[in-house]
Amino acid sequence: MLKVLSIDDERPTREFLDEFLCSQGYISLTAGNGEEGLAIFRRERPQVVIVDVVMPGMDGLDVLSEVKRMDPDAEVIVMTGFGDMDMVIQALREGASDFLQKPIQIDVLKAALKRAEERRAMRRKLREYAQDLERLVEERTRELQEKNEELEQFVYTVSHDLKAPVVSIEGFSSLLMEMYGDRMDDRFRHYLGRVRENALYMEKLIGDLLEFSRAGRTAKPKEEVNLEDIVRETLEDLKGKVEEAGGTMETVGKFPKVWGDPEHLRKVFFNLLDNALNYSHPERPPEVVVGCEEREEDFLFFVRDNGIGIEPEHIDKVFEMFRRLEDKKGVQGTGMGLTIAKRIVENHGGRIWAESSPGRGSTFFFTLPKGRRDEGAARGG
Amino acid sequence: MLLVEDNPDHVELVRAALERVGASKVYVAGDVPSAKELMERERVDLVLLDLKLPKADGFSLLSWVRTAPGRSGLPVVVLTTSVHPQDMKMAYEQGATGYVVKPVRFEELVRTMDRLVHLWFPGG
Repeated sequence: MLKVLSIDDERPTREFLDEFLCSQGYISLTAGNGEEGLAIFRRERPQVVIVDVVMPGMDGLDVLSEVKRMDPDAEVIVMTGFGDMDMVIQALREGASDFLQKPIQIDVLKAALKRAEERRAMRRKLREYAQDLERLVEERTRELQEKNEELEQFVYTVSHDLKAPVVSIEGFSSLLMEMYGDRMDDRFRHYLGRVRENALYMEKLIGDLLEFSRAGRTAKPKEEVNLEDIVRETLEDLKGKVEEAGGTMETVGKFPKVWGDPEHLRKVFFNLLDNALNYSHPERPPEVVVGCEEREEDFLFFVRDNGIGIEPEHIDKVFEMFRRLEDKKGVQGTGMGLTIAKRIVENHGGRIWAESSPGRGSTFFFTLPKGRRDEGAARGG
Repeated sequence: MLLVEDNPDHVELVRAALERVGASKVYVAGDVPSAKELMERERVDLVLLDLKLPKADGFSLLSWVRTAPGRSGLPVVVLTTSVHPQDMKMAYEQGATGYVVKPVRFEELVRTMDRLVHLWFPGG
């Protein structure tokens, strides 16, 4: 049964409330001033407090804030005489759930108590829902993490098993070429060459699959990464390829320090820059620019090229697995580079997208959050 | 030298690669029990060990070698297709001398064997 504490310096009101509450089956407690009321509240923890706003000494507003401090769920109904509307408004602002005007009318009091009970029930339900939801989210997150780890384990096993026959195919074709090459005609050699190339391509696919599964999760805790170094080193790694194509690759702006996995972030820059070189325009040497812009919430990075560009209807498909838009001769990719980049960026709390004018070039954008982001719900990806 | 490998294709390929670098005396065992049996019988100076084997896995042979009297210093190089960090970590923990991922390119396999043979048999 609900406990109701009535606090009023006027004895008749107190007695009226006490009588009424008892008759309605409530457990009634009364106090003649604020201090006494709070002492009873502390001891008895009533669920509902009815308190007069204007009292000598500690007034109703003081009682209200003390009660709310002790028990935010307590329902406080303030009583007021005629003309104290300002105080009522203040009380409601400070967390009172209802008010009664004196002289108290039975119906209004009944309704106020009923509302208080309903609010309590509602709050209890809400809290239960919230707890259920939290538990559910926790459970699901754990399940997801387990599934992710299982999947990664699976990819490792599969890639191990897939690689064995690839080793055999490449090995024996190689031996054939080595031992019988001089006795083969051109077509024989050509076919055997295709077999070997495909074995090596298969190896690359397996490697990319493995990398993709790893990109979703960071095995080690994230650390501060200086992207200035990473970008410089990546440009260095691709220098040969740029020179071979007779093109240029340069940076604009400064690159920040971010929180993440250095090898994964290196992969993002490498894959985007490599992609820019792979899809260069046949009539002009590639010009690739990589840059960074600091924004209020995050860092915005871009890789701009003057390559063949992407048709609008394909622009979102470039991030799909094993997707290669143009089967360009000489493009040795497996179509996983951008997929891996996307997975890494998203795992770091960023976004990635592309813009393009077909025939003139594309720009890939991605964001990385500022400051430290600790592992948490984002883990597992 | 002892090659512990259950995949007959890979046995042939590793043998071929070893022949190219002048190492022709190679024992082969397809599983851990026969590897142990062979090592009790013959003198072995280097073991090339696959991890995924029937009956018992390569790790069990590793720990057997490391705890066997008079044999604990024998170099055992893991030769596997697995790139799983867990496998590499465990191999070293169990006392592997080296961990080599089987290269897909045959020429690379020849180079790898060349390095291994010259590291452990510098005299040729």
